[in-house]
Amino acid sequence: MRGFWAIFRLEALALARSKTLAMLFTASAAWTVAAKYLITGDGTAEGFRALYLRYSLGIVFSAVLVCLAAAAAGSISRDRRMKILQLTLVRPVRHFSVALGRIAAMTLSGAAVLAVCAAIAFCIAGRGVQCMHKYEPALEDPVEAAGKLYSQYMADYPDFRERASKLPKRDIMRYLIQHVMNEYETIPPGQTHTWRFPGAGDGASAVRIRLTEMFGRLDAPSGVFAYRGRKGGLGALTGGVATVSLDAAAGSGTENGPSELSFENTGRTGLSLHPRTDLLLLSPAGPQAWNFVRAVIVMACVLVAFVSLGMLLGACLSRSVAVFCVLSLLFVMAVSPSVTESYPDPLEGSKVDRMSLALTDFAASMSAPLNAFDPVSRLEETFCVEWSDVGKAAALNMLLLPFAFSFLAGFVMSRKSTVSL
Amino acid sequence: MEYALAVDNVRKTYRDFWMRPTVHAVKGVSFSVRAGEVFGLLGPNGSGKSTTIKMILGLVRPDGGSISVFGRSPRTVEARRSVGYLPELSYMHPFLTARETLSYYAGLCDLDRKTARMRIAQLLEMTGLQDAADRPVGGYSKGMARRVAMASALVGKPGLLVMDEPTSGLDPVSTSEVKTLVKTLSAAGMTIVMSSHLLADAQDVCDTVVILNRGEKAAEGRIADMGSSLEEYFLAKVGDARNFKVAEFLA
Repeated sequence: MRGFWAIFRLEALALARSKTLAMLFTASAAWTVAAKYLITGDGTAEGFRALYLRYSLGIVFSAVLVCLAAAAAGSISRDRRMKILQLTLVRPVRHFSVALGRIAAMTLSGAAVLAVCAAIAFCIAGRGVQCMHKYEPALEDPVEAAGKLYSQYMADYPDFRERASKLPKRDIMRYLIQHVMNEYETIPPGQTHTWRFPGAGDGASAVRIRLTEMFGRLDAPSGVFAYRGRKGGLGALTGGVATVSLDAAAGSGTENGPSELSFENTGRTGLSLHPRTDLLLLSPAGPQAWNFVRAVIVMACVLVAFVSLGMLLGACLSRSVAVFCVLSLLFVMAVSPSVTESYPDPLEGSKVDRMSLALTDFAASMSAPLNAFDPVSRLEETFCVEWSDVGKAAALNMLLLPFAFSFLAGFVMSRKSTVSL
Repeated sequence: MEYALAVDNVRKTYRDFWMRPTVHAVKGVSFSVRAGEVFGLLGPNGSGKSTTIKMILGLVRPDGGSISVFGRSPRTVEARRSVGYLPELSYMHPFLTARETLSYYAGLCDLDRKTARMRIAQLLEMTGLQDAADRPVGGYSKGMARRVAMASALVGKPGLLVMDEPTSGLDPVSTSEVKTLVKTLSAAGMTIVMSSHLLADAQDVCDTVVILNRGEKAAEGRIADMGSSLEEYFLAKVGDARNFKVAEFLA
């Protein structure tokens, strides 16, 4: 254990004395403050808050992630090139703790920078704001729904049957799952639609809805939401989004089931939405301060995972190659989800396109656990970063990945030292 | 007879990326070192001394044969606890001070804080670095850096000290200091294995030597049994210096 602390202290001193940390800290804090004066938003407090958090804390988080992952990738390979690493490896210290101590030092340094910037951002855009728990509607599992569609198409359409026989079922299912996910629900004027929210309970006090423009028109939508005796009227939209408060005083009993949200379209045009992604029931979850704390913990967890990955690459490769690889990986992980979303259909296009999409999809699915938590977006939208998310992020990113990567790095270090002597 | 170090028929071939053999560095070398002995690993450049030392330290895995350090494989943590290493050049983190460098290695050797502080003070005094102890080692002269490296090797009080070319590049005064230190440590019971191609140094401090040539053992024995001139004995075993054919070139 003393070996671990010795390495931790060494790396912390290296960061402090190389001035990397000081520069990162100064630049991050300065940007977090300056963003307040550079961002104007859409004139509303909510609009400013969302934009400010996206461009202050979001950019600081990305910068810290990139800088420390690159520093981690260079750390072991630099020591190996300078032949200092062998002096550590001949000491009675387990090789994985050489990587683990460095990961801990780098992550704590990065987490300190994030915590200070989050505190500044909270003072600027977080005070007096409540965060909300969000609940999604219980809809049929997309894989099951896609399976049903597949069976139906196979039975009803000979043309589909013929095309499907030439393609792997996996590709068709992927296409159908995308189709299910993007499926619109249209509510004609005068009609009422209901959705079940089993986990929401009594506390739900608002609905957030995003309506889709049909034929470039979304004229003065109007309607009434009802949930457990509380009602709220759909009013003005900002960018197609509205948050509707559910008021007990406006209610007059309920005709819905106990966990059902209903919406009656009282306007003159039909309204369309993607219920899987565009409809949320919200309940208050306390002040934003704790939400910021949880968000910083989640960010630190994600940081650990990327620093560990950098450390592993640094143990395997030379410094420049490791830094290049880690930056490329970060780029691919960042863009792959939007690429797969924009080009979802592998049935079309050339073989090369399909292969590229398959690779991008693989990168997206590999990085999905890391991208899943997205704490800055939650702060931006005042959604609660749940303790369960913090637990999952910690289990995956703070325990599983760093230990696995450290063991691998330790193994590679002891093997690779033979090559570099 | 208890041996501090036993090397039995070790072989090492370096290979390229495609696993094709490039250099047969060590070809079946065996020797053993008694506890408390100063043992010299001699040989010309490229004879396999450094590879043998790296195998003793557990940094290089031998292709065949076995090595034991106080009865254990050198790759185990327990064996590494009893080994100190002084490399040929003084590789150090340039941003650390001498005190921090020693504190770092004390931590790696699992010393508690009190013992570490006491031992660091002793080593700084022993190496005459008290006045420069809080300056970054990046600004040290070669001799001072060598002393820090020596102190780092000794901070864990190892039973076996492995030194790779310990006097390489040092001035006569520093060389004399290193030799005196080796003798003192040996008198205190520490086993020392040193590689060198400086025969005068080996003759001064070693009890026993093994001479390697092209990865093979050319000779082994006590210094006292090798005659009055180690250099003559060495050249007889390794071969005379090559006479470069310069006349043709100069003409």
